[in-house]
Amino acid sequence: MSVSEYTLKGIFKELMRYKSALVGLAILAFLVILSLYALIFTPYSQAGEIWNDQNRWLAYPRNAAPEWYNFFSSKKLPPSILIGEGLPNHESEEVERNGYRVITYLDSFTYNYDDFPSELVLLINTTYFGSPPTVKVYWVKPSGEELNLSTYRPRNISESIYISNNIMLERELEEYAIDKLGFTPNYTITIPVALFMEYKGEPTAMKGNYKFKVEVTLYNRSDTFSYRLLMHGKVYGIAGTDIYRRPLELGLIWGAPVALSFGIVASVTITFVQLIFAAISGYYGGKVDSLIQRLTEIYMILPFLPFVVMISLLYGLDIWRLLLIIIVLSIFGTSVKTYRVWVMQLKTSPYVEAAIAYGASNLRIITLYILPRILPPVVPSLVLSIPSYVFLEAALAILGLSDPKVVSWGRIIEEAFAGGAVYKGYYHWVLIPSAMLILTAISFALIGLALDRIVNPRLREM
Amino acid sequence: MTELLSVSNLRLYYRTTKGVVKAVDDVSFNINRGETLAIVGESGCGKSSLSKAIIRLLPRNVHTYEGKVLLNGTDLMSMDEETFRKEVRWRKISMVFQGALNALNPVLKVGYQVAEPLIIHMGIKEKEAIERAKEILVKLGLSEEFAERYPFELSGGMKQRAVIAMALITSPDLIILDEPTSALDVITQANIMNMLKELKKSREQTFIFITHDISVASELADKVATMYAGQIVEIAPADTFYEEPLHPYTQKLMKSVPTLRRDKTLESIPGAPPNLIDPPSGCRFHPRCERAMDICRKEDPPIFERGHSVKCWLYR
Repeated sequence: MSVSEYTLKGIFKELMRYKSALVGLAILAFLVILSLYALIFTPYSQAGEIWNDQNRWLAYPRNAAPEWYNFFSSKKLPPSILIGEGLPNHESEEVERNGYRVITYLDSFTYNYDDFPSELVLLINTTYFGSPPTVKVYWVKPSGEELNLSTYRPRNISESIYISNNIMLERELEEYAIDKLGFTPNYTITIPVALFMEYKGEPTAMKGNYKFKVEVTLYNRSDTFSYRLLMHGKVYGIAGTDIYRRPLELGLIWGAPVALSFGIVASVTITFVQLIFAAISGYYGGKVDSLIQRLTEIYMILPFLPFVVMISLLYGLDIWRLLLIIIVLSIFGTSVKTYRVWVMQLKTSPYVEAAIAYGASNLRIITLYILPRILPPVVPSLVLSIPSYVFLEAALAILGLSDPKVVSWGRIIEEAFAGGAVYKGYYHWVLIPSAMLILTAISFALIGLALDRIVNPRLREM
Repeated sequence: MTELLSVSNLRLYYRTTKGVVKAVDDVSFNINRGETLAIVGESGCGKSSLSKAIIRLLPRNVHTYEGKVLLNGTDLMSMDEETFRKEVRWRKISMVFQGALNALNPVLKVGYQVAEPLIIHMGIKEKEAIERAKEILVKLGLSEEFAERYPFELSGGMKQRAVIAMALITSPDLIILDEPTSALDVITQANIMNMLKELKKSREQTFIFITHDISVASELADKVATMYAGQIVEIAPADTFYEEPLHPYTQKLMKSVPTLRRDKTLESIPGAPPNLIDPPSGCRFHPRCERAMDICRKEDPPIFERGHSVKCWLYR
C-alpha cells in the first residue's frame, strides 16, 4: 500500500476507475444539483410554509398520477386541460337583447383520453354595477348533444365555480345519462363522467371535439366578464400530486437538501467526534481511557430509537434539534472502540515514538501523526453511514416525529400513509419518495464500497 | 576535555504480568564532549532501554526509574515532563532510532519532518525551517529534491540519512544512535559510518552509539562499554577494548566476530541471556562463564579498575 494514494487527489483518481463509483457519483451529483436548485429558487425557510399553504395548490389536480404513468397503461389518463380567455379556440359574439349586452362564448377542444377528468372548475373574473351578470353554461359533446350546465351568478370580482360539485346538476345529468343508456350502470355517474361518457356499460370517455358554451348577460354597459374552465386531469408532472393537490415533484426537490444535509451532517459529525474521543482514549490511556470506554459501554446499552422517540415526543423538536439529539446519542458509539484500537496500535509505531522523542506535543502527535493514518479507513464507513441517517430521519417522520415546518421525504411518505395512499391506489405518493431514499442510499453505498476497496488493503484488488 | 554527560546508578525497571523486569540495573558511566561511547551487547541486554532512560522515553509500565543523569551539570532527573520535553529533547539530546526506517511519518514530506524539531522547539517559521532542513540534507549527501518527497519514495539508506539529519538539525549536545545501521546493507552501512565519522570530526559531535555489532562500533567509538543483563560489565578506551578485553563476556564477544577469508571457528556463548525478571544471583554472567568461581555465584562483583573499569571477580 503506497502512501501517494492516500492523498485526496490520489483517492479521487483511483475512485474514477470504478464504474460503480462513477454511477454513485452521478446519482450524488444529481441529488446535489436538485438540492442546489431547491435552495436557490425557494429559500429553505419558505419551502415548508408554501408546502403547508393549501390555498396555493388549487390549480393542481387532486391525487394525480405522474404523467409517465400513461406510457405503461393502455388506458390513457387525461392531464389538466385549461380553456377560455386568452387561450386558442376561444370565440365570442356580442348581441344586444332587451337593452342588455349578451355575449356568447364558444370554446372547443379535442379530448383523446380514455379516463375522465377529476374536476371541473369555472374561474370567473368580472366587474359589475348593481346586478351581477347571469352566466348560462352549456356543454356540447362530440355526438352533438347539448347539455345545460345550469346558470350561475358570480358575486365576487373573481370567483371559482366548482361545476363538478353541483349536486342538483349531478342528479339531472345522472338521470339524463341513465335515460340515454336505458339501464342503471354499475359505476357512479359523477358530473365529469356524465359530461365525457360514451353511453356504454363500461365507463369510457367519448373521444372527439367538445364545445363549451357560455352565455353571459351583462346588465350594465361598463360591466366586464372573462372566464376560464379548468378541467383537472388525472396525471400531473413527474411525480403526480397528493390528496392536498400538492405537486410531489416540488416536495421531492425541497426534501433533497434536507435529506442530504441531515445524513451528511449527522454522519460527519458523529464520525469525527467519535474519532476524537477514540484518539484521546487510546492515546492518553489510563483514567481518561477508562472513563470514555465505560461511557461507550453505557451508550451501547441505551436503546437508541426509544430514546429519540421519547425526547422528541416530550419536547416537540424541530428537525435540526432532532439532528443534535441523534448526534449526542451516537457520539459514544461502538466505533469509538474500533478506532481506539487503531490509535493504540499506531501509538506504539516507531515514528510516533520518534515524534515523542523529538518533543512533539501530544496535540501535534494526535493531529499530524495518528489521525491522518486512521482517516483513510474511516472515510468509507463515514460515507456508508450517511444513508442510515437519511433513513433514520424518514423512519422518525413515519413514526410521526417529523418537523411540520420542513418538507422531507419521510414526511411525504408519512402523509401518504395518513392519506391512505396504499389502499386507495395512489402508489406514486409512497413509491416515489421511497425511491428517492433508496437512490440516495445506493449512491452513497456505491461510493463507499469503492472507497473501501481503495483504502482498505485487505480488499485491494491485486 | 569537559564532561558532557554523567550517568550514575541509573535504574529502569518495567512492570509486567510475570514480574518486574530489571532492564537497566545500576548503570554508571560518563562521556566527555566530542567523545563517542559505544554500548555493545546481545539483544535484550538493555541497550535500548538505557538510551530510552537517558532521553526519558518511557513506556507506561515503568516500575522504577531512578538514578542521576547530569548533562552539562544540569540534573535531568529532577525536571518535570513538560520542561524535559521542551528543554532537553532535541535541544540538548536527540536520538536516531532503532528501526529508523520506520521512524518517519509516512504522510508527511521528508523535508517537513526533518524541519519539524526546529518548528517545534525553536519557533522557526515553516519555510525557513524547511530551507535549513534542505541544507542539512545536502550536507548528508541527499539532494534537495528529496525534501519534497514522501518517506516511501526513499531507499533505506536515504531514510537513514534523513533520520540522522533530523537528529542533527537542532545541533544538540548529544546524539544517541540506537542501532543506526542494523537494517542496512554493508555498502550503505559503510557510507553512513563514514558520514558519522565526518560529523564527529567536523562538529565535535558527542555520540552514544548503541549496537550489537562490535566491528561497526570500532569505527566510531572512543570508548566502548559492554552491557550484559542490564548492567555495564566493562568500559574501556576503544584501543584497549579491542586489543585486550578483560571481562570473560567481552572476550567471548570478540571471538564471535567473523573475520573475512580466514579459517576460524566462530565461538558462541553457551546458554541464553538471563531472564531479567529473576537474574542469577551473584555475577549475572556466571551460569555461562567458563571461569566462574564460587564467589561469582554468591556475590555481585563491584567495579574494579585494572587500567579500565571491569565488573568481574577475576580482577579482585
